[in-house]
Amino acid sequence: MSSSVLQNLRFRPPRQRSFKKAPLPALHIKQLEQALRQTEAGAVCALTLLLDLKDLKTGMHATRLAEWAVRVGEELGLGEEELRDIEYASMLHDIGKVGVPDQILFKPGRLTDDEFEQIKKHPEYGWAILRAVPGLESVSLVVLHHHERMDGRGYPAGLEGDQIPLGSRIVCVVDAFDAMLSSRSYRKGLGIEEALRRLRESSPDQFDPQIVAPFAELAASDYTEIAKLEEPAA
Amino acid sequence: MPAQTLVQPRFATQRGDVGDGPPPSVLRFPDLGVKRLHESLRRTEAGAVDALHMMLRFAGSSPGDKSVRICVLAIELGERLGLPRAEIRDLEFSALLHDIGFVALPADLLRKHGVLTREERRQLQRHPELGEAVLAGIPGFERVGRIVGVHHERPDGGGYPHALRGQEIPLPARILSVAETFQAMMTDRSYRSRLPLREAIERLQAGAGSRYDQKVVGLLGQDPDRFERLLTDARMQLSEHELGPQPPRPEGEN
Repeated sequence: MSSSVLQNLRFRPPRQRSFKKAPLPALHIKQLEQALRQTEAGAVCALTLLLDLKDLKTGMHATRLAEWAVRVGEELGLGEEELRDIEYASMLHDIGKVGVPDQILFKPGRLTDDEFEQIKKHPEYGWAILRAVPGLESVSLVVLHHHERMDGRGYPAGLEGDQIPLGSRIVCVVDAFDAMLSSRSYRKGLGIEEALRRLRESSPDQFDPQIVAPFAELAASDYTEIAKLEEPAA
Repeated sequence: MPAQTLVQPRFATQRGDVGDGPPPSVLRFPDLGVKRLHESLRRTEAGAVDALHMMLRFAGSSPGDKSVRICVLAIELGERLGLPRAEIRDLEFSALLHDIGFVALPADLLRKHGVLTREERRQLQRHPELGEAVLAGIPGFERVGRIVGVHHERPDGGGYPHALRGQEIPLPARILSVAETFQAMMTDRSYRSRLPLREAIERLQAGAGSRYDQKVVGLLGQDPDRFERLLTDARMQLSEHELGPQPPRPEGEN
């Protein structure tokens, strides 16, 4: 090419390109992927924090669940991506409760049938909220189905057995366990042995026995450590 | 039931012209992977905003379209004032999420009509700080959080929570402040109907320099009909879309 043409080019022709530039896109891709993961994590934290600010008990409950669920997931040999999804789903499983009126959420006594129907909407609300974030699609599905039962008598979809996402089956078990252990205003919390006994009793109808078994072992050994994740005394 | 995201891609950030695109050196090697990742990052950020905004709607703390209308207004004001693209994006996000802190407050406090006690007012006035705290955890949202945190400050130092003055308040926050006030004046409430346009402008002008930023108010005053139409159009655009599952909401706004 004549020199005037070279001068008019805005970039160097390929033959003269420095190879030091070649790895740059790859490095940049890694940085971008990391930025993407961090933004997703940030969104999860923001959503959880908002719920936490509204009701601290919910926040600590979610934190404990995430611990339990990830440990169960590790026992079951799940991969990094799945563990991450389960961790997020546990943290966010009750996010839909923002749609439930305060007087029902914080009601000290037993709920009426009507009130219970309103609470039963929270998995769908959670799903709607989480669907908005592109990377949290599978998390939103786990949240949607975390109140299903193995025998198909759960809500909202009445899924059975394997139809229920694995993450949902895990969250279901750890959620019930943590709830049983917590004290409410109308009853005291159960001990571990009793809670585990009830979990076993309710499987395979409600809970997946293939999750209850490894979980029961974990609960015995890890309970004291996770129980420390408590809301501060009033 | 399908959940439609409330905010449709019609604002600055999703039109594709955003402050943080790939750096120039990378553009020389058109690598689809990089471009796609930048796009994913933008969409994830927008998704986070949508999710948080949905929490606000579910909590019944904000009638569905209030924040979106304020957002449309704020963006128009920001563009006219020549804000750089990155700040328009911050303004857009903060306009949508400026009331997010209300989700953390008790519902009956938000619904209360009549005179508030000092304690109640103090509680409500925590919402900017709460909103900022929630947003602080998201990478890339530091400025957005800051704007949310100071959107109730006033140029004369009479605002909250920090009693900042004048230029101490970032311009996007001053724009948001005026946009929110104008939108409130132009909305029917349970205790009063919306103000006539002329009166709304007069009230804003009366507070120019003290309660409201002078330049922003001046801009509104130059073309009030257009800004009023922006509000109405935003409302009409929204009613075309399904708003998604809505819990029964009590009367009244904050």
